[in-house]
Amino acid sequence: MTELFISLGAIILIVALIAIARYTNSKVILWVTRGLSIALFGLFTFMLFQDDVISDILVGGVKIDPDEFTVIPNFMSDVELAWINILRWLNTLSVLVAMVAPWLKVKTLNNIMCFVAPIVFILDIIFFRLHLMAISGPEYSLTSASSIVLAIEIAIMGVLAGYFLYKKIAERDWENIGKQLGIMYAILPFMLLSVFPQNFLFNFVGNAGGEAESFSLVHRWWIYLAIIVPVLITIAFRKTSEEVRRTVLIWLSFAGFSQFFYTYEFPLSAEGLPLHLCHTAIVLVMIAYIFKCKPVFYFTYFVNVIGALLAIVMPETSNMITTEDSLHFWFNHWYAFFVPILGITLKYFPRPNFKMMRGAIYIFTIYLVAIAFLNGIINADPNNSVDYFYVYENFIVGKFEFLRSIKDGFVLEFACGEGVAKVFWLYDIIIWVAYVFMMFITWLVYSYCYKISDHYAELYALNKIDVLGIRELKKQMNGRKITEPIDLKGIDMIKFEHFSKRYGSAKNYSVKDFNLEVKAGEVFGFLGHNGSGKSTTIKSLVGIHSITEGTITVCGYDVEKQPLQAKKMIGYVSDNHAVYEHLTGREYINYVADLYEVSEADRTARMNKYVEMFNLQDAIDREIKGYSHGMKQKVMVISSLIHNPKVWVLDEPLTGLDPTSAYQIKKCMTEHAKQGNIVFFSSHVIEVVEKICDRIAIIKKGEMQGVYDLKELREKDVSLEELYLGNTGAQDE
Amino acid sequence: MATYNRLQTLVAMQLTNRKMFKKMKSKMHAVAYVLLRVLVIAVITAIIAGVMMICNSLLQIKVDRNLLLFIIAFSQIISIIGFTNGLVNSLYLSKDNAILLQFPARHSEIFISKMVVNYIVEFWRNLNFILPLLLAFGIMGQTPVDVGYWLTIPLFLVFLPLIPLFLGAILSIPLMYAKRLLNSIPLLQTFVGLSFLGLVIYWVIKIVALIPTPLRLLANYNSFITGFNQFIVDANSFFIGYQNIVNCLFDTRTVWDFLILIGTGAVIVALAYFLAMPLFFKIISHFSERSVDNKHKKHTNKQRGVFGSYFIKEITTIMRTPGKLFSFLFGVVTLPFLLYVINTIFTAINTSAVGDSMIIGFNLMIGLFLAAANNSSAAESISREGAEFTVLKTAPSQTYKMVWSKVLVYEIFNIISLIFGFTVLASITDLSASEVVWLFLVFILISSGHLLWSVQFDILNPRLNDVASKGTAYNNPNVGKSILAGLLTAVIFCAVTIFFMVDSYVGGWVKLILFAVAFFVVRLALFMANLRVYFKRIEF
Repeated sequence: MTELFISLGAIILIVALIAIARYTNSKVILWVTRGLSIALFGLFTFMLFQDDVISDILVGGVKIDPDEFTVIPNFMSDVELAWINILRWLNTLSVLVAMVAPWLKVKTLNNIMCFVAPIVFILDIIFFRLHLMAISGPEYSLTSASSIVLAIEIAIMGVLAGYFLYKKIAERDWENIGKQLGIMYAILPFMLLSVFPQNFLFNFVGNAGGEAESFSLVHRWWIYLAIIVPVLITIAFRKTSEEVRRTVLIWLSFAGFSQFFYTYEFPLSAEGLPLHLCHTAIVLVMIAYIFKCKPVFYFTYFVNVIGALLAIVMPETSNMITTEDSLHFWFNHWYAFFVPILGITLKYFPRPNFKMMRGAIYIFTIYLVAIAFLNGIINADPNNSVDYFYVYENFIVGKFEFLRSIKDGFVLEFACGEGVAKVFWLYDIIIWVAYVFMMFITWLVYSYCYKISDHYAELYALNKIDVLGIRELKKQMNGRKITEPIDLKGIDMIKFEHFSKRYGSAKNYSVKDFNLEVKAGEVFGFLGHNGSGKSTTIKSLVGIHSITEGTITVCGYDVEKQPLQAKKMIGYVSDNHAVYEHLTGREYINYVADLYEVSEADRTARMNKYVEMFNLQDAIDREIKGYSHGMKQKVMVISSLIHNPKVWVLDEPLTGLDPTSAYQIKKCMTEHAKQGNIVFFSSHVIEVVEKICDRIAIIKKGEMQGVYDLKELREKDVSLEELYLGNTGAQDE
Repeated sequence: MATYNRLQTLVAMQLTNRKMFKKMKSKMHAVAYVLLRVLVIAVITAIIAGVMMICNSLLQIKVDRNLLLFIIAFSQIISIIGFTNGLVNSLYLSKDNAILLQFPARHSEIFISKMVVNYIVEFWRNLNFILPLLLAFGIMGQTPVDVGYWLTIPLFLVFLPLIPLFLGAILSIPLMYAKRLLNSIPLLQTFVGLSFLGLVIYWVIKIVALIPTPLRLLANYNSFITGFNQFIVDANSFFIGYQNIVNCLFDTRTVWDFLILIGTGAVIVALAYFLAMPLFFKIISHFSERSVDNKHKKHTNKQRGVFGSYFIKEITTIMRTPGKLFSFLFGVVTLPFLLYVINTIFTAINTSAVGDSMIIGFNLMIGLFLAAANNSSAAESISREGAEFTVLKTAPSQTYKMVWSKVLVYEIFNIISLIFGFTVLASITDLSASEVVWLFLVFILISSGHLLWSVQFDILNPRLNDVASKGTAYNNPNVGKSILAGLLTAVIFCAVTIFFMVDSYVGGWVKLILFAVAFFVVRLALFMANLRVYFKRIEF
């Protein structure tokens, strides 16, 4: 009869909901379902605080009374006991899903409501009496509070399940239903594990599995799980939508809530309040995720996590792992440890800054002061003995004897009822300082972890860019080899197309929208003030700097996409005369020749030619550290020409050289261009540029001012010096 | 006034160049920075106080004024040696001399500015050691202290750095000339260095030979502590002057003690002013001349592969740089020596099964400490290319192979060192031959993993510009990171070794080897991933 009432009630309510959904606006039905979910939360919490009779029953026909250590005959068959354990587990999952589903727009939750919860509802109705027997024993009463609450809880869950199913049918939400169900069935086992009944293992195997303490194998695995689980959750959900991530976090916080209060029973005594640090975490993390409350979140993130971690490493439980006490301890501390961390790793809350840390410290201060007074007030009654936050236990004072004297020596006493309340104020302050210090250390560890994760995220992204770059190049080559020139029209020139360069996070461009073509056989001069962008342009051309925008091609090769081929075409003389000083000139040139894969015969011929040209015969087998500035420059010139490059790039090549050395290098430049190569160089010395260049470009503040043919300028009788000063604005200055 | 302004500019410029002080974005940042510094000092004080507490209660070493005098005097000796060597580089051979000497400032002003900069650096260091030491002693020390103790601490912080700094300035002059002589004959430099090292090793072996067998630590502990305390008292008798200086702290102080503290500082400053300052410019100009003219045998222009060329270049550079060669050879020599010393002690102790696993763990840890120190220089191996890195950036070849050539060089020296080390270990330890081989394998894996980790720090944050402009990367954070990573790795491996072997000795070995393999594989994979992505993106 009761089952009929529940079913009828549920059906009537479902019909009512459908009517509301059809004849009112969507907001009304939304808030009605949410109202039901809030009511469900109240009923679920009430049921959580009931102690199930079956929690001490072993499959196998005995009931162990842990208080008296006696074996009591069982009142359920093994099959019934096994089945009701599983059904209560499924019921917990369905009720929790029904609580959160109206608030979150996530398909998997909706699907559980549509395809799992209705089945559980029907099973709950069929086995309603078995449920009651599991809760209250064989002499259950249909009119007891727990029976009525359970009936209403099942009914509301069924109502919400029915409504969700109706909604799915009404909205014809069948697109990709196979995939949707696949995801649901993939996630369902993990959701079930998150609300794993703490008496389940004991019911089936009794006391077993060893003790999870003192770094035993089990303890180690429990620690590993505390690390592995959040990592896996982060990997699985980090790229999902914000709603999904929020759902994961809210689900875990609800799962944590159900796991924590699993062992609590009404009425709560003054000594049994959930006020220890890890206990507060369970409630606070729920509040933080549901209301997106930052101060509460950062308190749990900085404070609760440390407490939970200490508890995980040094557990205060010595029960066998299959017992309810042991699993309660571990579930509580796992959730208190990683659920706050997931708030950051899943990017639901931003990474903390000092302001957030300050907020966490304020809340911790309030908590500690409240706990210090509460401990004192409760302990004023000699029948009570509490130590919320575990600060006064031997665990701390036993290890540091001087703290005991501080604790007992600095006490604030005040009358409370018939007794005296004691607040160990100096000791509490020391604890506060130590804990705040640990919070900062935790922050440091967090920051280090962020740094590592950011780094590898960047590495992954850059690697992806590289792979995509090669794919893009292959596409552009349209069947040709990627080692062939990308720009067939530019195989005898240097080409800058809309080239721009910006350093790091700088706001301004060092070079902006630079366009230029330099053809074979030209000696091309590149003029500009210090800081005008000459060296930046050259360094991007030779591959030292990256290119922010645009392209540079050398003999048809894209400097960015085909760096090796482009560099093979270039010989470069830098402006810093940097050479390995402990090598001899010959060793250095050979080293560079190896990098350019120049054959022994070619390098010998070229080295002999240039060594003779620059009069380095006596110095070439001496260490470079003994060379003069000019000699180093000559070695650099030889090494840059050792592979007979098609493009010879020189950055301020004549700075600081004596007239003879300067003449030799100038001669070398013109000769190299005459052989059909390009010589591209920057200089401040206008006379030199005027004398040896065919064309010049002037750059100012990163922008091209103009390209000029020196022959034309001479014909028009325009002085390069005046042209330069006019273009760079120096004349006005 | 003009002199003061110039000095101020010169000092500010050099400090900025050394990246010692950052400009704060706001007052809040400045307050946060100061608070952080105070926190750091508080933490160091707490650690030292903890160590003192352990010494007092557990180890029975008296933390009294004698010990304080010994520690202060010893740290001063270390500072004097450090400054004597360091000032050669920062005063005379620094690349910034070329810039500073161009400024319209007197040579004496440049000299003073450099000394001020070094003083500030030393003062800063003292804030992290001497200050916490004195604070911790005031709290935990067994010699009672009065208000005067706390008031004298600031005076100490101001005057103590003067002594090693200016004494170092004086001593750096003869050292500079000695270096010049040795530089002209690189092999002589290495020979002198190794001879000195040999001498140290000889004396330590002599001392180690005095260890009684069997060594009963607990039975001999009291006599050891008595001997140790007597050693400190005897050593203190040599620290003339410092006895008076430390006396300033305690209630036995006299005016003479303060006069000696201030006077010693003043005299040494005056000596440096009259001796070192006049020679400053002379030495700089003398040594910056191109005087080295090492001619080498003419080689053929043989073509090599890219990796081979890098490798030959690395080896050639090391062989021609006595400092580098010495540091590599130092690593080769010290590991066997260290393993010899600790295992002589270990073999003298009768150990249980747990003790045996601890011996393996500690061998690993101490050896890895040394490996961490040797590998730390790999954390600036790419940075040391400095401006020369340009060649690699412009070369049309797989230039990342250059990093592997550097790794290989370190690895060769590491393996040579390990072969010597484990030969010594095998000859003196009670461990079986197979255990020594397994330990050798574990050691190579961990050390190689750490080596790759060190180079990775440099790939991710190369200091090429620093080296190009200053010749060296001052306060290179990569080196610090490498040492920290090495120390942590060593401690963790020591702990897991003991942890694994307590459960099961044979199983422990298997787990340890697997753990070492996993560590190496992870480090290798991460290194290769970082090398592939970041090396080509290094900009200079």
